[in-house]
Amino acid sequence: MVITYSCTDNLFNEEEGYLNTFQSFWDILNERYVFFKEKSVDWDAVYENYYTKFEKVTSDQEAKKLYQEIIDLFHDRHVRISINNDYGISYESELEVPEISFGMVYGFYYLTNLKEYDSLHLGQLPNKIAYLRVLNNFKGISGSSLPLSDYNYENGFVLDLRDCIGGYTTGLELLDIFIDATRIAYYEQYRNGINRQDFTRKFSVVLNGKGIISNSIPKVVLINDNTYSMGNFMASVLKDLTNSTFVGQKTGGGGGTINSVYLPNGWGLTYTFTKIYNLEGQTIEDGINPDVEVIRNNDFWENEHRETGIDPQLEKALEVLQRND
Amino acid sequence: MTSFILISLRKIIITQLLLLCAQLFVYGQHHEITHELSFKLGCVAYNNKQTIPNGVKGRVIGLQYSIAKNDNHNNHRSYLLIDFNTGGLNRNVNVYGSQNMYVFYGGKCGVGNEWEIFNQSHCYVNQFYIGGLLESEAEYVVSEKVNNDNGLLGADVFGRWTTGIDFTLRNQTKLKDIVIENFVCVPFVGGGYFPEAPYKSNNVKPSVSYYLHPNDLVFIGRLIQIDYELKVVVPINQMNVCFLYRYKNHTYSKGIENQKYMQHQFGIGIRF
Repeated sequence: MVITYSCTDNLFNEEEGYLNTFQSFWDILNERYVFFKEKSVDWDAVYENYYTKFEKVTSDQEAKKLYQEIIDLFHDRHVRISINNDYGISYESELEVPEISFGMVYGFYYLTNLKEYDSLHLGQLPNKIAYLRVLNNFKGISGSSLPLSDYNYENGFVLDLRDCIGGYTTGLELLDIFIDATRIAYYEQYRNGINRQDFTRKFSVVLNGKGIISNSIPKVVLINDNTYSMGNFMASVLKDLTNSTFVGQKTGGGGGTINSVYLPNGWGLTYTFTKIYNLEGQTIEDGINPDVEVIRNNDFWENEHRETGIDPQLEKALEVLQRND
Repeated sequence: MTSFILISLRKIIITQLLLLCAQLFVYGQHHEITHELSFKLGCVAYNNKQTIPNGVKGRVIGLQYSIAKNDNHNNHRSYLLIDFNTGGLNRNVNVYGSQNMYVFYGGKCGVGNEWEIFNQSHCYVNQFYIGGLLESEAEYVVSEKVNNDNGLLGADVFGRWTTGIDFTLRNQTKLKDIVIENFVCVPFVGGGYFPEAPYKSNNVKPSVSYYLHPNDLVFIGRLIQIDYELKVVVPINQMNVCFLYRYKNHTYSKGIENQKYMQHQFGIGIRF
């Protein structure tokens, strides 16, 4: 049994050495990562520069430092290494953006009838405006299963995607309430060869719209620089398929879906393995621009906003809806 | 092309079901019929370029049942086999604390026919059979919930199903009451679902029907699978006890996709 068990080892790479792990890290991204060109990453140069460095690595700390340097080259928050349940290496953005205190916002703007679902909040704002907020890690719920009849959205609907840094692509199912029929929502493309420009054709992804909230209802989508990945997808789909007004800041991007695999030493590697395109055929990796820009002032958001709940972006959204009355 | 493959595979599956019924009916007639039931234990190593590029390995347990009809007048043998295996897959280095990273399920069923091509009788009997097996096979590897705030969401599930025709070769040696059997089975042609882009249906909400649609037709070359079995049947206390060793080596490749697994199993069973 021992002899035969060992015969399976050629399918199995578990040599924990730093160099072997780096080789696997490089190979996997080399074959699968989709944004080398967009991110201007010279992956061959990375191999040449870092192979010799990893040869000299003797501790996890040194390895982590080198991986941090490499990952920072991508400027892609989807690329990360998970070391354990509490620690990982990901792109350290130079922008430290204060998070929104949504609890304070709800109170300040008299949000009532708040229903909290798994990563989804639905509430009623004054002046017959409904409010729907998508939180992180949203896995999806059909918008048509929400109790929208309990809410009055005669004067408009606010979909808040701010600070939604990601979730599952199935989360897009929520948007079926805003879309009137079965429509192509976006296109996705995969790597299919060792050459970094080898890609499959673009596959269309379809969303079955229910059309519950008609196009005649004014809609505002709130976005900011923390609207990333699935939040960014949602913004892109709504921009293409609805007549929503986008208020806030340019989204943080994240125009692809991710895959997670194990490295030989047991660490996890997550990377972007599809390119997402909008209906015009443009990649959404760089983010979605707002129609009405409301720039954040960090001092204000860190101090006055946290104390009072005042939200200039939401106020602008309400102003846009009132203009449409 | 896809619709052609789809129609062809539907025909194969229907034919397989009809053959299965026909053979079961024939088993009721006047021939020597043997049943065999075995329990197996072994190990598997798995490598899937897309989701598990560095591989996992683990122990599998399995059950195997076969019913065979021997028609000695016509030197013909027909049989039906059902095989099911399951087990946990892991890596020695598992920093996420999950007991098993993946759970493996695999199954196969088929109907086969063999014809004797060589019979040598001295102080022992040595018979060679050549034949074909119409079979369906499926595997499913599902990740356990390895999930953490750092974003390792657990590698994706992997699954495959194939239905096709295998080439078989069997050698049976009878030494008094002891029977030694060597059996090799190699797929000649197969079609089914193999993971490839786009990996899920083109609907935001994935549909099961997508995975039921065949997406590839492969001949020997891109699908290389060797299924070998060594069996020794020994009469013990008026019962035929089988000791078996099974080796399976599977490789499928298409473009960037490549998946392999290797399985060794030892088993014990009864023939009646």
